Amino acid sequence: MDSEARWLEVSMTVDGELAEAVAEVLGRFANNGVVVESAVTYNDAEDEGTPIGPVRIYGYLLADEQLEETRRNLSEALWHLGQIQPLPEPEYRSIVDEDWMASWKKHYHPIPIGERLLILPAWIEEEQPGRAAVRIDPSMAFGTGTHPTTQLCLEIIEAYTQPGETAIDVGCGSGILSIAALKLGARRVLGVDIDRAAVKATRQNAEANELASRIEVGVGSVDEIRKGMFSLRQAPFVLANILAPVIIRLFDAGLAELVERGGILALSGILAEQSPAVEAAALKQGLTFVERRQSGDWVALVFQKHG
Amino acid sequence: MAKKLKAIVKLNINAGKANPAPPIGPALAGHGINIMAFCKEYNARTANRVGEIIPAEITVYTDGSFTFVLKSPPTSELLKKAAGIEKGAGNSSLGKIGKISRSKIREIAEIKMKDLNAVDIEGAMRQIEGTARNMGLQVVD
Repeated sequence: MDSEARWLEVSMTVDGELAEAVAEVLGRFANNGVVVESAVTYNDAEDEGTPIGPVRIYGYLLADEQLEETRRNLSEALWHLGQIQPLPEPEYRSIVDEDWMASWKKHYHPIPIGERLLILPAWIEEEQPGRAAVRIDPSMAFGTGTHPTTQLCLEIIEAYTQPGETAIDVGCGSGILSIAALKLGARRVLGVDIDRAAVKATRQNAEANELASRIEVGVGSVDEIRKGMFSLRQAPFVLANILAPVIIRLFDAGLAELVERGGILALSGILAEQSPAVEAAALKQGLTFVERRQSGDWVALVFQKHG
Repeated sequence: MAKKLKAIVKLNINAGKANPAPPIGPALAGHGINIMAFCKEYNARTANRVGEIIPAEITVYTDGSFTFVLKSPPTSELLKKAAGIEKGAGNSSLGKIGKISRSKIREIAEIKMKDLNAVDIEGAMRQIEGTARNMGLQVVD
């Protein structure tokens, strides 16, 4: 074992039914608890993901002078558990101490979008001439800027935001789209989400971008907006980056009513194969198709409401 | 927004004491999860239960954002409480360190049912019994 290593990672892949027992054994020896990780499958278009198959269990042993003894005791305990049900051999890996508080940030880099936007993780100071910075702290709400659906929507915002006008963001997540619209000149934005964590995240990100005074955020959806629970009931620019089946349901709830006459409705979060169903639902509302943009499997659609 | 799951990560950790050291740091850093945001939120939600192990099940989305829910304590913790013992046997061959009735096993299975990968209550009970025996607890009728 190399001298830098401070931890020995022990991991095993087991069936779901064995997970608790193995986690319990590992938990007796591991530092501060264990990790159980599941892979994910998608059952249908609306499924956000369901855990499937074997799980991988991780524990970390401190690499001190007792390590060899701890490791022996752990092997022995696993051997005994193996007498009840067969177990795979544990895998061991030495790891060095890192600044874990910083290392997760390696996943995020500035992302230029279109011609005029730059998505910046909260801790990066960077300026690019001609680009407005949208600062986002990746956290407990969707919309860090790395996903194609978010990027497609940002490109559309760049193309369609009318300076001095208002906008409505249905399903605002981290607030990334609302903030981008404001940075590109929108006067005021209403962002709603049914998830309280998202509403909180949007407020925090709005503050980080010094835009809190121009963004109204609340828990809700199409219904709440139409009932007049917020200061806007309609806007010339409406965004919904959700999922296709949800968008179709929102049309039934009156999504098209939020768009002012002559205004634009931008829809994203749509898989290519779901696009025809969403287009059909929009046309049924009397909206006119304007354009379709695609990135990988994901599609964003733009419609206009005629006056 | 278009949320799609990347992984589900369950942490069996001490209430109110989450910090970036292993296991939390390495488990979450690889997924690009904001470790400070998680630790703060977990500690706030579990502050009044210090001393217990309260698992957090973290849903990681494809863009690195996440949500999490708190789960019922691990089976071994519930078994220790039910059997009135401090600690499981190092291994099950060292003899029995206590007893637990099948009705208690069923109670624990009912508490844990929603968090176990079990099809029915019998399957859940088999898992709980397996854990009990491995801890050196004798299951009695």
